Amino acid sequence: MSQSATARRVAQEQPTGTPATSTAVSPEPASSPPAAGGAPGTAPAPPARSGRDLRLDLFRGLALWFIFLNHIPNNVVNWITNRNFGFSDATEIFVFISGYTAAMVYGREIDRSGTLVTSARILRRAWQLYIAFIFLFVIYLAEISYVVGSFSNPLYAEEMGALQFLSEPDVALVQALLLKFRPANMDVLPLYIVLLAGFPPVLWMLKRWPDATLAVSFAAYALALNLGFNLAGYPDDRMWFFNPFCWQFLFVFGGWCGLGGSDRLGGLIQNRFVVAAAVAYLAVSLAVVVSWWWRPLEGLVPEAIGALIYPISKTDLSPLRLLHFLALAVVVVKLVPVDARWLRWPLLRPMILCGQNSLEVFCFGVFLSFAAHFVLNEIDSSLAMQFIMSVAGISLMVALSVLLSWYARVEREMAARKYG
Amino acid sequence: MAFLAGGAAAPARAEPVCAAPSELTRAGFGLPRLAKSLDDKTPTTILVINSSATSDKKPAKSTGAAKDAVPRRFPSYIEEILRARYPDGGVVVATQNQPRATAQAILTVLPDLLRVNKPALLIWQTGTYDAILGVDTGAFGDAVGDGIRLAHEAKTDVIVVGPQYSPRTSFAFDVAPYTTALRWTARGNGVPFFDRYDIMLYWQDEGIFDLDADRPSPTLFDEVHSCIGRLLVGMIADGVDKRTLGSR
Repeated sequence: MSQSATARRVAQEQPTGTPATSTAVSPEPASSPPAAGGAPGTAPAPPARSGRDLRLDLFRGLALWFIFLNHIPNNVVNWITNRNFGFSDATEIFVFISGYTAAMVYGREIDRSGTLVTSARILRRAWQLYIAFIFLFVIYLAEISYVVGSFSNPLYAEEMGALQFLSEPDVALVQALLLKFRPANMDVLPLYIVLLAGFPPVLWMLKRWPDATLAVSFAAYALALNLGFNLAGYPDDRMWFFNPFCWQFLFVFGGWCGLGGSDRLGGLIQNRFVVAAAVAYLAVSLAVVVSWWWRPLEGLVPEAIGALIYPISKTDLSPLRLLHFLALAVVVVKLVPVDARWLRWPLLRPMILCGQNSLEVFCFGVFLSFAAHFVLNEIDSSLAMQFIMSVAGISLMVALSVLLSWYARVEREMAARKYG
Repeated sequence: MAFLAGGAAAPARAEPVCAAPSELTRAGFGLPRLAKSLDDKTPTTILVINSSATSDKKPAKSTGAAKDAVPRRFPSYIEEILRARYPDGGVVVATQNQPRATAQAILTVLPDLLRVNKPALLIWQTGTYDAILGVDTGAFGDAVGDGIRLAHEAKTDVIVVGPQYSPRTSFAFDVAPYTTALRWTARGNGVPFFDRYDIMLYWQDEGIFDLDADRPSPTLFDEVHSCIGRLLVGMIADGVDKRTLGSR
C-alpha cells in the first residue's frame, strides 16, 4: 500500500495532539516496553510515534466503521459503505491492513526479541481474540434466546426453527468453542483468529523468502478456489463463511507488503497504464454493482458476461473481488500519498484512532451492531432511529479508541518512568 | 437490493393490503408453456415446491407458534384465484413440501416431481434453508439455474420465489445475498422472479403488515399468504399475457 513503508515516514510523523513527553520517551516503538498498549499486535496501541503510515490506520478505521454499519440489518446508513459500489467490501481492507501491520510490527519484533518470543506474542494475541469471540458469542446467545422466547409468529416457523439449536446447548456451545458455530456478523473474527494463529511460521518464512512465501500462499489460494476445500462449520454441513484457505492470501499479501514488498511495487503505482487499468476496472465494477440494486440500470450487464462473472463469491474471495481490492489500493495509494497533509486533519483523527485500536474496536463494533439491531427491532425502526443508532455506534467506537489510546499512553509513561 | 421509496406505484387500490410496487410484481418474462396449456383447456398442473418447515397437514411443534388451526398457505390461494381467472384452464395446484431442503437437495427430486406431475408451471420457493446453512451463494445460484433448465427440458415454465423478509431472524442469517443470487439466476435463465423479500419489506415499511410484532394478529399469516398468492397470480397472468415475447 505504501510506496515508502519504512524510510520516509519517520521524519514527517508527528501526530497532532500527542504530548511532547511521550514523543520524547519512545522515539521508536522498538524501545516501548511490553506493557505499552497491553495488547500490541495487529493494532499496536502506541500510535504513530514510529512514523506509522497513517493511511493504514485511517482506512482500517474506515473499514471498521463500514463493517459495523453493514452488520446492522435494515439500516439505511449502510448504503454509504463501499460494498454497494464495487465488488469488494470492507472485509478486504480490514484483512489486508491487518496482515500488513501484523507483519510490520511483529517483523520488527522478531529482529529484536527473536522468533520464539514473537511467535508466543502472536499466539497470545490470537488467544485474546478467541476470548473476545466467546464473549461476543454469549451476548449473541442471549439475543437469540430472547427472540426465541418472546417472539412467536407462525409466518416465520422455518426461520425460527433455525434458531432451535438452543435445544441442544451442549452441542452448540462446544461447536462455538471449536469456532465451528459462527453466527452471522461474527464471521470475520474466527477468520482473523485462524489467520493470526497460523501467522508465526508464515512470518518466519516471509522474513526469509518473501517472494516464495507469497507464491506458496497464492498457490494455496488458487487450489482452494478451484477445489473448493474449506473448514467445516455447524450446524449441519455449513461451511466457514470466510474460507480461510482463500482469505489467507490477502493477509499474507498484506504481510508481504508490510515487510517491504510495497516499496517494490512502487513502480506499479507510478505506471500510468496500471493506474488507468485500475480506474477502468473500478468503473466497470461500480456500474455492475449499482445495476444490482438500482432498477434503472437493471439489465446493464449483458447476460453472457453475467453468466461468466456471476456469482462473485465472498466465501472464496472471488478473483473479481481480489482484483477490485487491488485496483482500489492502487488508486488510493496514488491519490493519497503517505505524506498527504490532510491525513492529519483533526476531523480524520477519530477514524485513525479506531484503526489504531482495531481489535478492541472491531469486537465492540460487533457488540454494538447487535445492540443497534435489538433497538431497531424492539423499540423503533424509523429512519431517524437508524441514523441515531449508526452515529451513536460510531461515536462509541471512537470513544473506546480514545480511551484505549489514552490508557496506552499513560502506561507507556509509567513504564518509562520506571525503567528509564 | 432495490430500495423502495414510498413514491413507487402502488396499484390495486381495491385491495389495499395487497399493494406492492409494480416493478416487484411484473413477470418480466413470458410463460409460454403455461399460456399454451391454459389455451388448450387441458388440465393445467401448477407445481409449487415449498421449503416451509410446516407441512400443510400438521403444524410444526418446534416454535410453539403453530398450535392454532392449520393455516392456509399461498399455494391454495393461487389455485382458488387462478381458477376464478381462467375458469376453462382446468387449473390444479400440486404442492410439494420439502422442509429443510437446499436448492441442491431439491435438484435430486426435481426430475421425478416433474415426471409425475407434468406441470405447465413450476413455482419454486427456495433460498431460506440455503441461507440458514450458509451455502455458498455461487453454488446456490448454480443449483437453481440447473433446476430451471431441468424444468424447461420437461416443458415446464418456472417462477422463482425468494425467501421471505424476516426481521427478527435477520441477525442470525441474512437472506439478502441469496435473494440477489436468485434475481440474477432467474434473469439469466429468462424466468420471472417473485421477490418475496422486497415485497414484504415494502409491506413492513409502509405499515401494511406488522411483521415483527411480538403478538402478531391471528389473521396475519392468512393475510400475508393470501396477498402473496394474489400477487403471484398477478405475475402469472402478466407472464401468460407476455407469451409472444417469450422465446422459449
